[in-house]
Amino acid sequence: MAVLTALILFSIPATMIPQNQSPSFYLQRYPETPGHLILALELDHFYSSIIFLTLITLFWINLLLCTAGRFSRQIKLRKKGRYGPDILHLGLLLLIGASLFSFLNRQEGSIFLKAGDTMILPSGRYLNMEEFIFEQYPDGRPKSWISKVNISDSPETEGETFEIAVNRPLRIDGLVFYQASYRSASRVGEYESGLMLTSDPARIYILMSFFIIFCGLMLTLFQPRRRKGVNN
Amino acid sequence: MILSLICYFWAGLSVLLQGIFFFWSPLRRRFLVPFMNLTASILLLSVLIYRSVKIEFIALTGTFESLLFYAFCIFLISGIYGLQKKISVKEVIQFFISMTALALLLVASSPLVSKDLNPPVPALQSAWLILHVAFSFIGEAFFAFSFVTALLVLFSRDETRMKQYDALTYKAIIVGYPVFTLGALLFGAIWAETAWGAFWSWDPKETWALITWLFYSLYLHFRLYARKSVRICSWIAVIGFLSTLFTFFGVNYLLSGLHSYR
Repeated sequence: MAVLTALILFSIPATMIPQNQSPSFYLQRYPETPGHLILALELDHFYSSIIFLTLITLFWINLLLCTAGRFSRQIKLRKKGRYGPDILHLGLLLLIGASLFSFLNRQEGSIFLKAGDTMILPSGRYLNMEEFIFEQYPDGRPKSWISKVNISDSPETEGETFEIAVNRPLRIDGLVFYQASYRSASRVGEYESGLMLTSDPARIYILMSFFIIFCGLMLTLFQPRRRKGVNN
Repeated sequence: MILSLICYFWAGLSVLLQGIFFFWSPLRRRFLVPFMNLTASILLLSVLIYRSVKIEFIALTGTFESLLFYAFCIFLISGIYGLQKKISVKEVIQFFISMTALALLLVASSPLVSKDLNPPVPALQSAWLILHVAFSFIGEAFFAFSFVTALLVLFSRDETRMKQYDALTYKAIIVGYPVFTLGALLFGAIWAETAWGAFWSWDPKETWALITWLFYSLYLHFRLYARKSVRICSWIAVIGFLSTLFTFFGVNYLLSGLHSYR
């Protein structure tokens, strides 16, 4: 619980300080000591700093020990307890582990393609930008950005056509394509589509942990409660 | 627009009547207040449905609409609470809950909050977003309830009353916590991954939602395992709710980040 409190206390200042700027930005904005303190404590990139990672590790170990303790007590006493909180805690353990895995292995990139451009995917297949559609509401606000792309085995063969739109990414060959932005092409009135690519081997584990957490929450909510809790 | 005016009028009337009942008890009727509150919630819901039909999308994407939805949830919870038979219903709780909802409606009516009715931009066209917003506010409405009862614990001198208020705080949080976790954190993360390409970006609003969640986690652990005093737990429930308010208003107007188009 002390770790929980520490996490809260340390997270608050970091939300007040803009993250991931250059060192000179902090020294200018917070002159003298505060600026140096921010840099020394790594508050400029707090969520990948030593302090934060240490806290998370402590939290993880703490959670692991508590969960293991509760499990062994329940087995020893051979009584049916409430498993909801334990499943929830297991889900959290997996989530933190998967997040760390994602933090170390996730890759991200971006590319601008205009209609007719082709790129080669790491899998060796080809992605061809067939068309980029930019729809607007009557008042000029954007309604949709849609990229029509064709995935084929070679530039000559006919492939399969997919749509990539905001909130509808394309998941293919272990990559995810997001409709991220657009910019004016060299010809007037034409646009180039800005795609963001990510590959995250941890995604499946994160989704699994979400499912476990969901199950844990529902069990906790709907299982009848015992009168007395176990000391944690 | 007329419909919204009726909403405001009705919600105001409900609170006013409850205020009068404190001093003039002969007028008090058992089911009048829950009836008023439930009607207020139905009126708010019809405003939201009307707006949804207009833009052909579920109108839950702007600050104004989310505040209306928030007030709708609170009035609904208050109304349902008022109809309970098993637990003793306290007028003072209903009064302050209705006040909270009315305060949210007043904030929604401020000129700072845009009431323009616009179909959503591409990033907001997502079922996950709707689930994210709806569940977050349903959870927060329970937290609002717990905030009122926790404050009453802190202000009450009477031991039995304190216990009753505390039991209600706990009940509200035990329901609000899973709903909030699901809506604000899980659905939010899933939406972020389909819209922005990452489950979590440590944007200030996300971090504050996490801080809120940590506060309520702390509450549950204090209350269930550490057996801290009723007073300490109530303080955490109060601070937890203030943290939801900061997540919603403070982050929007003071800090910048991905959620700033809300």
